[in-house]
Amino acid sequence: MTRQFFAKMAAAVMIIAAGLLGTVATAQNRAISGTVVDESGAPVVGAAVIVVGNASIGAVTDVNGAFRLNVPAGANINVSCVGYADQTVAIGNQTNFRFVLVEDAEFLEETVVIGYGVQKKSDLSGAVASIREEDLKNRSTTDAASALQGKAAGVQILNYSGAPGQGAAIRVRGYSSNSGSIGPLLIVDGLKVDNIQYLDPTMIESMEILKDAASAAIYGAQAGNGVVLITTKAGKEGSSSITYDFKLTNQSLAHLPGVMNRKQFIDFKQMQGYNIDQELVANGDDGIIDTDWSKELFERGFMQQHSLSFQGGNKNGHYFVSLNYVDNNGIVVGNKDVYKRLSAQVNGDYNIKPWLQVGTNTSIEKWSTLGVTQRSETNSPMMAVIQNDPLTPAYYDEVGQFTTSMTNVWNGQVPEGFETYDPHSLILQAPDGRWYAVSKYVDNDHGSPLIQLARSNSTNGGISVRGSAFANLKPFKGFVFTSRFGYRLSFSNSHSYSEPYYANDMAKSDQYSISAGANTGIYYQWENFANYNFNIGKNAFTAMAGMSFTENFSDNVSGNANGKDILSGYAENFRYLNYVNSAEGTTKGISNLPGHSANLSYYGRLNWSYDSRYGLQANFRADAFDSSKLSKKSRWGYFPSVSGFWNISNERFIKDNISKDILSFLKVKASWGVNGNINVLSGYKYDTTISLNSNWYEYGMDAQPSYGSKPSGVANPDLKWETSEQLDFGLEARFLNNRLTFATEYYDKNTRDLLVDASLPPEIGVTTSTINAGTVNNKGLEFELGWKDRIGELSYSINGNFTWQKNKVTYLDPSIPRDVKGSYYVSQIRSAFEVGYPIWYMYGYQYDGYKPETGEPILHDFNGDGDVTDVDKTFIGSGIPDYLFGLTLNLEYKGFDFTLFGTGVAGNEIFPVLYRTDRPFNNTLEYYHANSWSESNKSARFPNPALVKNDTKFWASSANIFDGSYFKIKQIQLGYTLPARITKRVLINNLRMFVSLDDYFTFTSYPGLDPETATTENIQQMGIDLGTYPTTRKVVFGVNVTF
Amino acid sequence: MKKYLIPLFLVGAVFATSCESKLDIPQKGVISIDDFYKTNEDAEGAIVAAYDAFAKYVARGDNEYIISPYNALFNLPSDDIYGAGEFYGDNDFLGEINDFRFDADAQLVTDMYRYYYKIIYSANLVIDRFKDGLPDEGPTAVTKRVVAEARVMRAWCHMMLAIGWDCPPLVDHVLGAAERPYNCNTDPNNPKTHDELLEWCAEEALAAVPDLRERASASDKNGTTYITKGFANFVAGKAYVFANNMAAAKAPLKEIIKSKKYELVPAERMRETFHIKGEGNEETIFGTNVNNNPSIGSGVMDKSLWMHLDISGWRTDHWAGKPNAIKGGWGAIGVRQEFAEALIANDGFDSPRRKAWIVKYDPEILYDLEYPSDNPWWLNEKDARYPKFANRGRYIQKTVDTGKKDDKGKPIIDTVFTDDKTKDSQRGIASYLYGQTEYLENKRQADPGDVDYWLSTLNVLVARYAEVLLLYAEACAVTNDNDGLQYLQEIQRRAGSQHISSSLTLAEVQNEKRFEMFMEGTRWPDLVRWGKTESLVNNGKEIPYMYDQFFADEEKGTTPRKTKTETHTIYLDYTGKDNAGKTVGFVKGKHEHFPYPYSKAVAINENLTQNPNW
Repeated sequence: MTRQFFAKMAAAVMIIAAGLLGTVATAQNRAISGTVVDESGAPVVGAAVIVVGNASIGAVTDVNGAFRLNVPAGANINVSCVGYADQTVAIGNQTNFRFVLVEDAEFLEETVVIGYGVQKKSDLSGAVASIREEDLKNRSTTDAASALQGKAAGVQILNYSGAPGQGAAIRVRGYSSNSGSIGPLLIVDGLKVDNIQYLDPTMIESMEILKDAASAAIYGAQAGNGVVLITTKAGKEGSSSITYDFKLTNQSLAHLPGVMNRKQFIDFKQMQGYNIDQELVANGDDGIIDTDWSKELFERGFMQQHSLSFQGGNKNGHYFVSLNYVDNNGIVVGNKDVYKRLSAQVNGDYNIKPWLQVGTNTSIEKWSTLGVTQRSETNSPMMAVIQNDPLTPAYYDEVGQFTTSMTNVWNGQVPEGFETYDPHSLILQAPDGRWYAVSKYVDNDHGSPLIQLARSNSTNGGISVRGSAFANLKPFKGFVFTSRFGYRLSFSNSHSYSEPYYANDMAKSDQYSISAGANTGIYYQWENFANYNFNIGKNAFTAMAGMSFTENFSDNVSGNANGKDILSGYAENFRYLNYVNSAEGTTKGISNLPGHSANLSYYGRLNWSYDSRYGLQANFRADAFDSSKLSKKSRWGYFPSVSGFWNISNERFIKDNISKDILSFLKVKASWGVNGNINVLSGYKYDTTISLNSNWYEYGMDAQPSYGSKPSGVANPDLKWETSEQLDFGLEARFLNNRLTFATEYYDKNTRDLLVDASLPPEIGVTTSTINAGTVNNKGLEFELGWKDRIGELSYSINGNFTWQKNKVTYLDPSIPRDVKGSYYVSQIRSAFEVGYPIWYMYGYQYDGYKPETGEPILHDFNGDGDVTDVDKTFIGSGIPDYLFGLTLNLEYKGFDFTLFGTGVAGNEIFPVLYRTDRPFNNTLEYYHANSWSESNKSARFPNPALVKNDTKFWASSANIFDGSYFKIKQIQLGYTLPARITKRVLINNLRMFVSLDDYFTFTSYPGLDPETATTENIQQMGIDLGTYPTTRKVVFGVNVTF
Repeated sequence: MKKYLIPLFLVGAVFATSCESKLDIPQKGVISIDDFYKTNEDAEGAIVAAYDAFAKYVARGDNEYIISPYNALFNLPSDDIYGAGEFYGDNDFLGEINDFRFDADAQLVTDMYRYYYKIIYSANLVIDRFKDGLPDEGPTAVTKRVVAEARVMRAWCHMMLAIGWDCPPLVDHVLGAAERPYNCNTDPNNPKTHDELLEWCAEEALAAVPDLRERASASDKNGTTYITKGFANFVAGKAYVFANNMAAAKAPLKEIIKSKKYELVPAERMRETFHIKGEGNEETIFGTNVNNNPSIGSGVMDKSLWMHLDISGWRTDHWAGKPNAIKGGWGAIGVRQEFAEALIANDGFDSPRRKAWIVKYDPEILYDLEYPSDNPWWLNEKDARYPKFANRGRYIQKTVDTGKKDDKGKPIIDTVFTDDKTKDSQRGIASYLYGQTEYLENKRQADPGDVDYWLSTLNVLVARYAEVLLLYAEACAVTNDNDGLQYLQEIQRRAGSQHISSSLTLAEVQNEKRFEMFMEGTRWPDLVRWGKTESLVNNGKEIPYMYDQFFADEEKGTTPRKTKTETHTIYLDYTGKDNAGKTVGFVKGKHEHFPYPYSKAVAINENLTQNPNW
């Protein structure tokens, strides 16, 4: 649709010139006249009709596409219009002409989608990364965001987890808020969406990332963290086809966690000062057992992906229909980690009248996930797989092997609270009848990864419909009025159920619990905007103006119950809230709170370019948000931007002096703009109300409470959104007949007015008030370099991108020396937000090595008071990488194709919280064993393990900082396309088979599970590794068939 | 051209339509400030919120204090106790105050400063909104009373602030978030000196008296849980005394005496006043109240003395044996030897006040209390055949199993010898006690009766009658009015003291107040006011460790426990170097007042001037 749209716009580039200049030259001889139309028969306004060899004789078509001209006899005339292929004809004796211009395919390839319109790539003055269908093809990922990884400079994709159905997060040009809301605005076919996880990469035609403020400014208050515009596929004219893609993926654990085996574990316990020999005897160790918990927890998992598409079209309309199915059963044993998604995309458009086009894009998704706990210090199989000791088997075959406390429970000596249960039911049994084993050496709060897995019974699922319907009114050439109605409907349900169990004194539960919830979301947006193109001489103008109104409604109902006897029955078919009993000990909870928000915006753009040499663009948006976000007096915000480019290679002094074979293209550009981030505001933060009856006092010795009320705080009606102001300079060049491409951009982005809870002077009587008082600076350099050529029948290309980025907090309200977040049972490590440092850096103690003789650690005492206390904490690392890079190599030879794609980051740190200071007997990373001080190794990195066994300060020090850099080969794919002459015989136009190794090789020095996922999902605890479902390595077999 | 008109009309229509009214979305589950503060019920609700703040911030605060921050802050900088605990640095938020080594960011100072203004804010909400009565009806009985209560509350906070910080900002209305108040003496609009601020407090309290309720009688317990005429007069009298306006102080104080609504409790019950069983007794004027109301659930913690039982309990985990009746705790307060000796010299060892306030380790704790080791483990008190042995004193008749059994198969028990408790290894200080002397604190030491619910719902005592009498006596002494002598003597007689003043002098009052008001937060402000801070200059320089030489282990040689003795022998070691290299002790010209919190106040308010030398 967008190509069509642009073609129409571009066709009308000279409409004003037509009006103003009319016929620009008159000559003798012959008078000719005619009309210029496009393939649909619509008049092409502003087409230039000139005499070949004498450009001074020419005319421009009017609003009806008509022209009149006097030409010399025997002349050839040339008809040209931006966006269409030129035509040259000899006039001969003909006096009346009808030219049908064909859209210029090459030209259209180079357009990119920008907000509320499209633009020629060569005329872009902002920083827009454009990812095409080809870049997304045949990836095993099911998530559109994840498919972006490594493909564009300045864009970081965070795969927070390898678990099935986990979506990736996108960071455009750094990290610009102290809040967790720093993802870009996501727009699919004009519809604002809350995630793009539903979108199968096979349905995507292109993804554009608006990186600089000028490009994004048209989205105003929501664009401060960049904008991702996604266009789904449209049918192609004149080539109906059916495509079937199939992928079967076998996945397994990619990066074995470096935890200690039996021998190492026993040795480390000795180093820690445990009398492990005595422990082994006391616990009946057989001298052999050496459990590798990762082998017990992980297995090979299978994923299948099917995609069936139908597409086609003619000059009046196009359709694209696609059905996708994903069934991903992850690598955790059994069927506890499963993601299923059935989705359909239905896109169509039709020209009802020459001046009216209507269309729709609709996406329907049905999904379900079953997940396991991760990123948690407790009750997490991902943590337990690292911390459970190798001296404990995975299963006990008989009751006699039980730990003492398990035996006690089994024999009816249950702890307090468990009296009402059948003791045998409390000891969890595996499906094969064996019992899950727990350590005899140390109680931990997981018990066993398998127990935590067995206990996890939570499912989520739902249906979402996202779509839009639009009408393009094209009353005259160059003018398009679009009215578009977009909507999202989402319905989801969740269920969870857990039973009492006993593993050890820490991992146990004396209650049943059950919960269920239903969520409904209804969102709609109505947008009306008009684009108008006109030319004055060599000046080309595009003007756009529009408005949009959005409203979002959410509703949810949830209920839960817990207690010692909560259901009328416990068989699987009773595990629903309907069967919750009314026993006195059953605690029930219900909740419901509908939500509602709205947004009204006006926006406009004016674009001017001269002779494809210079251009300027200005954007403006005014946004107003509902009263849940901003007070009436400050609800409106205004977001301007300007940008410009200079296409140097189109200058005569270049054209005339340097061959296109050497310098094919050279452009410089600059932009400035202001965007906002509204996501930080919600829940009436600016307002204060009466906390009704939330205070109490008792007047009298035996009195019941009297209730009272007061305001919840002090209001700040001046509260506003975060505002990003960004400068961008860029250079694009192509050399050697377009074979070598190079682009670079520099940006400097200041995000101001971060929301902080500033301390008020105590005399005010209210502790804090949310104010706008923080600034973050992000700056960076982005490079893209590509080479594309052909050697005989081998065509090849290599593309790389590289980003350097720097993040720094430059201002924070003086009442807050630093904002500190995070807390862990076992480490005093924190994340801090402070002026002069990257956002949410790792805030801990500086490790100054150890005393060589004793191995006693030395932590830096900054204030010199003789004690290392909280005030001696300092910057010890940051989870934000300094460098991002991606590399793609494509080869094609006869029917074979080969892709090698890798991506990585460098300069970030990871802080693993995988050592338990409160349970030092737990297992942990082998790295700690291999690199600790001992009598025989006094130059190791870590101090004497015996001295830091329980030391929460040492375990919050820079000793435990690891380099988080990694390089991952994301894809090695080899494909073969059968020759068409063979496949045509069975009516197959194209048949390709491929095999691919995805996420197969990881180069890293990080000893934990997976450096890519080794972080919390919370931006305010970046780089803290609490044990995450790792990325899996995948072997993919696939077939692409087109009929 | 018609076809162009339709879209153009549409465009025009769209741009002309404003959806802005759809952006007004009301908040759920709240009522706006403008809809509150309308009725008598709202006025009652507003004053409840103020009492809520008062009770919360003197008992526990928003920083979850394990000891009443209000009691602790004014108690610690004194010459009669130590900030103690398990070891040096344990409970250092108390220790640093006692040693005068705290800085302008000290947690307790910062928090209590904040807390007073939080109470003031809640009081100002009531006063600002109801000082002219209800919006429609004007003043009502309810609005007059709640405003009066709020004014007294606000006056009391300002008085405590003035005592602690000299010239704190006077906040007499709700401030906006952007306001940056001045110290009261530098306020450009309405400057007030320290004394003038205190006089303002007194006048505010007096102005409120007519609209306040009066305690029904000395046995009216409920009348001590809210602000009464009696408490208002107390605030006025105390504020005048601290403003050194003794003449003005006498009237409101005498008013309390004359009202007969308050009495000193008898000597044998005087310790009760600080424990749950004495809540609201005759002597109590005002204490913030908290009951064990199951309907509140764990919210009770908010206003309770939270871990009061633990923090004030003796550190029995360092003892070789724990007396049966003692709960034990963290021993955060230690009694100075010189205070104990002075009290005994003044009162006599057997005075009920001495016994209520402090206990001598040897013999009262070591031998007079019942220990598990006093009896064989199987001795069943309920068994009539084995009468409970009198075990007070150093010796005990010990029963033993003769090894024989009677015809029913039960063991035959006999009293075969008396055991010498002085040689019992199941009692005494096994390791050491930090910051403790031969005398342990008893006044606020947890009472078995203080355990209510699962935490202590002990009310926080804010004013008691004894202080009224002492303030009045002082005002009289300074103004040469002999009327005060009778009340000074009333205090002394009730205490069972052997010292009864024969004439009313300031020195006599000062002496008496030191003993009577022990650990009630008046000592340091009084010393400052009287210019007698010499006794504070050595604070933090010699903090004792208490050992029992019976447990000395010469072989280890690591402790200065001296020689091992045959019997329990207490030894105090003052040679510890815990504060070595640190500046400790009261500094004249600096420690007369607390600093304004640096990070939380001074650093973000350029109008606030720090106290001298901080």
